[in-house]
Amino acid sequence: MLACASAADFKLGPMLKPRKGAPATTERLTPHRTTETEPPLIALDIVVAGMPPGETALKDRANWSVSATAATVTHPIALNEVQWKPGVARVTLFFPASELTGFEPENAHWVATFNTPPSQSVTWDPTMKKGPFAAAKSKDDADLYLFGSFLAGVSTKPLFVIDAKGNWMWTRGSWDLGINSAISTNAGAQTPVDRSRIDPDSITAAFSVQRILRWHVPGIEGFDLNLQPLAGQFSRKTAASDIVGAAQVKLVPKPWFGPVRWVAVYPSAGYEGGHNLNQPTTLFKQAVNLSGWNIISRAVVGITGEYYWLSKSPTADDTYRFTIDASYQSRVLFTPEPFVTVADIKGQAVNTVTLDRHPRPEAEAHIAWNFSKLMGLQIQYKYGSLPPLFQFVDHQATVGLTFKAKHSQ
Amino acid sequence: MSNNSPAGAAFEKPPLTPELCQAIVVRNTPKPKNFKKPEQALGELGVVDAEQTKFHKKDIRDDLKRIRYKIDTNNIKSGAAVSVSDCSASVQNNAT
Repeated sequence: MLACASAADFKLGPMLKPRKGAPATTERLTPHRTTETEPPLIALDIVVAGMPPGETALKDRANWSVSATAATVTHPIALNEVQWKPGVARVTLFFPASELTGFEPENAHWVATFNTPPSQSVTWDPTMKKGPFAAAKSKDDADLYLFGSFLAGVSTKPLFVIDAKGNWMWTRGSWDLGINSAISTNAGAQTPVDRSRIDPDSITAAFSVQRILRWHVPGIEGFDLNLQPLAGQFSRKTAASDIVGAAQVKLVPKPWFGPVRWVAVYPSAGYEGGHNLNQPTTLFKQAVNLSGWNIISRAVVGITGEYYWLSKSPTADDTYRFTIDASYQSRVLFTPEPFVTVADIKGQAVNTVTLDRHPRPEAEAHIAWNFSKLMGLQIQYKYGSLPPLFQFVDHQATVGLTFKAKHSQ
Repeated sequence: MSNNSPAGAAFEKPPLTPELCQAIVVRNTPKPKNFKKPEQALGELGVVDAEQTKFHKKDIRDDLKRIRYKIDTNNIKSGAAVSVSDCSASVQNNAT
């Protein structure tokens, strides 16, 4: 069945950067030599959505007005040709480069108006030079974040709260490099406090290197290589601190099936090595002997599986109708490390800490089902333990229901 | 060497037309044969998650490099919910 197009469906989107245009009728995918007889052209591409109500009206130069403003002077532009390109969802306006005198097209402010009712205008501005910083939406979104507060009261000592993080990413050739760091002081403290301190509760810092390696084998995209030559962490709560380096390689096959329902599987392998910096004598209010906890040396193997069912018209807020992602990884220890489990002693849950080398598996699964635009279901499953203390979580499931709506008026 | 020589033409930077940008965007997806129209979401062409998005952006960058264009992968709009048209517009706007 053919969909009916109406004028209301047709919308001009953003205008793209002006470019040199080949003669309009000969634009093609491959480079070609221009001859002396072809006048140089400039092309303005405009993104469009929907079908135009009348192709003839759209391609009629008389229905368009175009101007370029440079150095506060506005220049009207006479068009050579208008092309409608449904295969790439673009309207392209061509005009001779001789229309521009004394300024470069990329330095001008452009306005194009399609005058057939309802009239629509689109603009393009030269890329403004961006400063080193832009506003972030939240702490998670921020690369640099600093929060500080000072609380004073009659029955409490002053309480300082500092929460800060700094991430730097840059590219060098085919390598992506990054530094991630965070520090937190008194973030969860509540008054009254009997002493003021600004010693940090937790510190993390890591230097990471990432590279994608192509592997030209059918069905395979390549490898995702992640190196973390140096990472350090400290936590006052668990009295744990260490310096660990890590290397991980992930095989990235192309996803299977599609175009709406997809399955992707990513196996990975790696190594973690470093040194423990602190051997606490008490953990969870119990005396412990962790004198053998020094060198850290582990092999890590894992696999992640994903199932995606795309929404009918995917958008940033509504991309998937249904997703399952499950990951499993096992750490094979070459040196003893702590392992924390909860034991039932005389009806009370008590943390027990041992030091040994048995493998430490860890599994997670998430299911998200958006069965309508208003309601969704999430299920999360966890099992296993993670460094540095390897606190064991035994088959833990969380089920959540979300309802989100806003008034339509 | 003259710019009009065949050798010179072979290394000439091609104009970055909408057709060329779309061809680059589509052929670097995991399943380019799924392409039907520019309004289609890249998710339908296999760019379904963060890992595939990372590869898609890198492949677009490398493809542009072969025709002597440069682009920062942070300026390429890609992902399951991004349309082919929006992705190719970001390529055309940001490649230099």
